[in-house]
Formats: sequence, C-alpha cells, structure tokens
Amino acid sequence: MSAPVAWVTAAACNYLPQVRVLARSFTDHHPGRRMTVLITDAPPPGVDLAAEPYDVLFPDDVAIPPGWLMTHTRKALAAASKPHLMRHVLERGAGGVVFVDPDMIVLGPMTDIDTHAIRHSLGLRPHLTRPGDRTDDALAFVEDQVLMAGMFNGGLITASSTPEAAAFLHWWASVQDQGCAHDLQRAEHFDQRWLDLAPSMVDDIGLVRDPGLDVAFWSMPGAEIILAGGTLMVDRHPCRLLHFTGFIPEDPNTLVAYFGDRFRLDAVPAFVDLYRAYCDALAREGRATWRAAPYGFGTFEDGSPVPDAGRRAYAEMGAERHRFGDPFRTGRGSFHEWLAAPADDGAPPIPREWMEAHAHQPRIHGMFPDPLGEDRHRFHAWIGSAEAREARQQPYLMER
Amino acid sequence: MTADRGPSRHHDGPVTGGTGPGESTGHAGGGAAIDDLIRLIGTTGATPWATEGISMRAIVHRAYLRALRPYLRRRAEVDAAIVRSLRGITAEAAGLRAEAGAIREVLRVTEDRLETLADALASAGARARGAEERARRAEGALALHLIDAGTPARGALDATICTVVSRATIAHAHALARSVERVHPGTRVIAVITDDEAVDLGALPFVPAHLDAVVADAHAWRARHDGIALEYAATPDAIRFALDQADGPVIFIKQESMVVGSLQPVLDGLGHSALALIPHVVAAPTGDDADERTRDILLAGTFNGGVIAAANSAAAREMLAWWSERVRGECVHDVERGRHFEQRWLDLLAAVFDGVAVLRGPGLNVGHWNIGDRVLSGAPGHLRADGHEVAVLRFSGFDPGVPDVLTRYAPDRLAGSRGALDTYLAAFRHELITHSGMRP
Repeated sequence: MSAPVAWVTAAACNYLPQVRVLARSFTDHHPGRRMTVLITDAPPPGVDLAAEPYDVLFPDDVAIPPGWLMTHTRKALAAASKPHLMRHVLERGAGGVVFVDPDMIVLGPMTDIDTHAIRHSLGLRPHLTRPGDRTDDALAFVEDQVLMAGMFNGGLITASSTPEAAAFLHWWASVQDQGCAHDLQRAEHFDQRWLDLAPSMVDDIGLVRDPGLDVAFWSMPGAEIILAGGTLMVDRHPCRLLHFTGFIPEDPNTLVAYFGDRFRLDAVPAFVDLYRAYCDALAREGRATWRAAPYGFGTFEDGSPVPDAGRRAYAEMGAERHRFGDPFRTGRGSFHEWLAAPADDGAPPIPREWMEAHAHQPRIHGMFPDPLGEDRHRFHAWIGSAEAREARQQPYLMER
Repeated sequence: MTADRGPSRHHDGPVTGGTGPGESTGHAGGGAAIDDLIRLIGTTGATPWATEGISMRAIVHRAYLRALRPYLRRRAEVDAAIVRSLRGITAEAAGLRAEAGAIREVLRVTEDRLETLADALASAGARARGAEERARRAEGALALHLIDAGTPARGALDATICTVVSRATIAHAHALARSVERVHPGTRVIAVITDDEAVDLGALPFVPAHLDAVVADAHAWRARHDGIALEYAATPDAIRFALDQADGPVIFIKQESMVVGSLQPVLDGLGHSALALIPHVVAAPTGDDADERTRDILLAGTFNGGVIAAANSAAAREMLAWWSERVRGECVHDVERGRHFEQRWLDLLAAVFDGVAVLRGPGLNVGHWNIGDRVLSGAPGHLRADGHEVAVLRFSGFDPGVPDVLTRYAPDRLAGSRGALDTYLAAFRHELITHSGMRP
C-alpha cells in the first residue's frame, strides 16, 4: 500500500474564509482526511490554528527563500509557493500530492485523483479538455485567454515522488525566484504559464480531463451544465471540484470579475444555488472581516507599507541585496533607507522607490517622460499627492 | 576777391623735385596751405612788397617748403620702406603661389594614383570574394561529398515526407528531398508550392503539389497571408494532403532542414498515436541566457513546428482540420496575444486532444534553440546529439549570404567552430545556392 496522498493549498490570510470552506468540503467527502494549508502570510491574529479544519504550514516550513517575502507581492507569494509546498509534502513521505487553488470547493469523492497523483510524475489539468468549434465566439474568447495565460490550469496539479517530478518542481520554483507576475511580453502569467513547458521536461504527465473537475468559466463554451437530481452535471459528469476563479462574492452576478459582463451567473442557472451557497459559507467564515486583513509581509518594521516598486527593486538587485540583512528592517543601512534615498544628486530629490515605479508603471512614465530632467519638478510635486499615495500600492504590472 | 585769387593761381617755379610720388602729394597740399597763409596775413589790395617786385607768395612758399622738408624726407623714407615691404610680400606671395601650384600638382597625381589603387583594391576585393565564394562552393561540394560518402543508407521509410515551400524557397525542398534520398532512398517527398502560377520546375527530386490542389480556396489563403506566413499556414493542410496521397503515416519537415540520420525513431515515437510533436527543448535551458531562451520558447510555443509525424487516421485528420481552422484566418506573429504563426496552436492542440505523442529524443529535431544545450559529436553521416543519432538538422534563420552566422535570430549563437555541424551547414548552403541560382 502506497503512502497517503496529501491535498494542499496556499493562501494569505485574506483568503482564510475560502480556505476554510475548501478544507471543510474536502473533509466532508473524505472523512478522516484533512487538507494541509500553506499560509503565505504572518500567522492570522486571533486565530487558534489548532482549531482550524486543516493542518497549517508557514513559508519557513516549506523552505521558501526568505527573500521571497520581499520580492513577491501577496498574490505572487501565494501563487509561486506551489512547487515549494508540493515538494515539501512529497519529501516528508506523501505518496503523491494534489494542489488545489483556495477558491475551490470539493463536491464529491476524489479518490481517482489520489490514484492519478500516485500514478503519474505530474498531473496537469488543461483549461480546455476537448476540441471545439472556433466559430463559437465564447470558445474563441477562451482559447485566446488560454494562449496568453497557459494551457494548463494552476488550480489543479498533482505530483508523485519520482525524480523527474522533483526536478520539475525544483525548476518551477527556480524560474519564479525573481518574482511572479502577469507580464505577457515576457511570457509570464504568475506561476501558470511555466506549466506549458512541463511536456518538455517530464515524460510521465497524466492529463486530467474529467469535465466535472476544475469547473470554471473556461469549462462553459459548448458544455452542457445542468442540475440533475440536485447534482451539478457538466457534460454528463458530476461536478466534483468547482473553481470560483475571478468570482467576487460582493458582485455575485458577475461570474468572473475581470471579464466584466462576459460571463453572467444568471446565464448558467445550474450554478446559481451553488454560488449563493458559497457566498453564504464565506460570509459565515468571516469574509467581511478577512477580505481586508492586512498582509503580514506588507509593511516595514516601522509600519510603513512596502511599495510594489520596492519589491521589484529588491528582486532586481540580485546578490547585492544581502548587505541589507532583514529587508523589512528600518534605520541605518537598511533597504528601507536605500529605497527612500534620492536616485541622483539633482534637486529637488526623487526617491529611488519612485524611479523604480516610474520604470515599471507605464502610467507614471506617461505622465513624466523625463523624470530626472525636464519633468523633475512636476514629478517631485506629484510624489507628494494623494494620487501618488494611491499609485504607490498599485501593482507594477496588471494583476488579476 | 578776384584780385586775391589771381596770385594764388600763380606757380612760382616748380615746387616738386620729382623725387617720388610723396612730393607730388605735398605740393598739392602746400598750394592750398600757402593760399591760406596769404589770406591770414590779411593783404587786401596792393602791398609794399608787391610794388618792390617781390612775390609774397614765393616767400611764403619757400618758407613752407623749408618747414615741410624734414617731414617729406621722413615720409619718403616710410614710403620707400613700405614699397620695399610690398615688393617683398609680393615676391613671397608669388613664391607661395608657385608652391601651392606644385602641391596641387602633387595632389592631382596622388589622387590619380589613389583612384587607380582603389580600382585595384576593388578588383582585388571582388577577386578575393569570388575566390572565397569558390572556396566555399568547393568546401560545400566537399562537405556534400563527405556527407554522401559517410551517411549509411537505411532503406525506404514506411512513410511519406512532406514540406511546404514557395518558388522563392524552392531550393529548400531540393535540399530536403536530396537529404531524404541519401538516408532513406526511395522514400517519397511531397512539396506543396504555395505560388499561384504553374512554374517550369525542371527535373525534381520531389513530387510537387500546388496549393490549389491542397486547399479548396487557395486564392483566399493567398489573399489573407503574406509571404512566409502563407507557407506556415499551409502546414496542416499539406500534411492532410500528403496523408490522402499515401497509405501510411506522414512526416512533415519544415523548410530550412536536412535529414541527416534515420527518421525511424520519429515513426516509432508516433506508434499508435495520431500525431507526434517534438518540444523545442527536452530539459530546462542552461547557461547565461537560460531565462531569455526559456521565455522565447514559451512565446514561440513548447512544440517546434519543424518536425511533425501524423498517422494516416481519422483522429489525425480531425486534429489537422482543427489546426487548419485556426491558422486559416490568422497566422501571425503576435506573441503578446499568444500567436506565433502556426506554431503556438500546437500547444493548445496537444492539450485539447488525446492521442498526441510527445517525442523527447535529443536527436530528433536539432536546431539553434537547443543546439547549445546538447553535445554534438560524430563525423558527417554519423552526427549525434547527447549520444543519440540526429535525425533532422534544422537551419532556421540561416542566410547563405552570411555563411558564418548559424541563425539570424541569435547571431552570436555557437559562433566559431561547430565541428561536424559546419560540414552540414556548408553542404546545406551549397544545396541552396545550387538550386536557387542565387549569387550571394
């Protein structure tokens, strides 16, 4: 008998309600088993972790490089931590590991996926599981999204304890060492686009094609999605893993917030009750409070926010950054001090942080094309404005 | 007043000694001054001296000349000095003019000589280039001979080879077909030609097929796709066409390629699958440019569209029809939108269809994108990559006019000696020049 298969997910504290709902749904269908959750955040304040419906790990436990807490944004850290988390549980004796995204719920037994995880070095879930007719606008739209975001969904991945799986997970972690963002020009869509290269590196890949798994907007074009005897069926397969990707409970009629009106909840009547139930479950788990939870790695020691531009600057420094020691420290010789220092000798001074933001935020670049020359005075004045304070916390690249 | 003016016009003897041009000026000035002196004395009407016969004017004139004499002497000296200087300068200028003339003459002669030298250099350069080209052609012919002699023939392949070219790239079909004949004599090669005119192609080592025979609306395809994009877009239909002409499987090999070793491993890899694809790399890229190359591959597609095997089955035809539907309207390079001509669709194809074999043999499809990660060894005819026999060598981006650069997409890649690869590169160039009539 092989070692048990671990089911894992990763999220920051603002996703704690989602994680709870997922973990409970997993245990409901797999009595006696608990999920393992990597909290990519500081410990949630006021929470008795022993009483949570899952086992907890923190970044230190899975050997996430300490620098990642600075180089990666909240979203990026959760996304990029997958290979570390999967490798960790495999190294500790799991016969296989199944990673699922935190914004999912389990609606049925998943023992076939346990088997899949043990049988194949790597298990990947194509966004599109069958060929369709491109003259269908909805399918063409999804195909275009998939070409940009990656063939395989990062929300359902399995791995076993083979050397080629370990080598792949090692590589997948290494390519995200400098960050994890949405940057189509650089063929990057968080952790996900890298998975397209898996067939290059791994012989034994098992594709998970069951239409009832990882059901999300990409499952919809051309699919029959109905309720049969209270069970959600997708192309005559029971939906066992529903993925609420892009769904914001506060905007419950929009299925995928970043696509606006393209996917409406009322267009899929079979979804309605489940989505409502999910919203209720999140509300019961404290969504209203947790969605605004501060990020444990979001501020310097003195409480000032870490700007995303600072994270990028730190990532690009390479080994030079080691001189700062703890990157969250403030005071003499700290990264915090370096970031606030002027970028050059000119007057009025422009802090390095803002030159970094200028380099990576096209909007700022557009407003001040010559930040250290002709536009210096205007840029300097703008840096003190409310608009700049808001821009300071904008991701340097579009996140979604 | 009339009486006063009378004497003023009287010239009492010559006042000029004729000593030079300076004195004549003094005389003219002196005349006016004497008149002024006479007026100053205030004589009006007759004076006592006048009655005595003494000319007042003559007295004043003499006194004036006496006073003026030292000045006039000095002036004469200065004038003489100036004249001497002017004569010196004039003489010097004449000397310089003569010298300039001499220099001009030297320059003219030098220019003539330079022109002659430049002509000689140009002619020598042309001769050197001609000699270099002849040497390269000889080198290419020798390389071909070495490859011909060194490559063991494996017998006909139980498959049809197909490729797509235009009239402009038809030499690629020659090079490919001849390389197939060398390794697998008797194997049929079909080349789909995308141009809209029948061309007299002479004797060919391949079976030509015009696009009109391959797709129903060739005219519309030509209108939609420019140049090389048309050749790429025609790939799925060219494979389907070749399947229709054959009983067995088809191996598509893109232009800019040579078969250098057995293609049997490609067929073996296809096995019972409908389609077999070969990834650009079979391990994570290494080296200083690993990150850049990895991202380039992600943008271009995991699978290389240069070598594709298809079974003669309904499943393969369904995949090819799916692929054709997608490139028919759009075969563009727009990597931010996930497009890389026909190639990126292969990633999606392998995800949505079951029955796609992924062939990871390091020798199956060797090109500039993976050549740096693999150890090439063996003499011509026995080329190996990481110890595996190389089946297909890809020369994507090779320009016969820049023969030392492996690929224009990465001009620095594998600069310098490349061992047996250089022999294949020389032979490939030789084939292109021979069959296109191009003069680099």
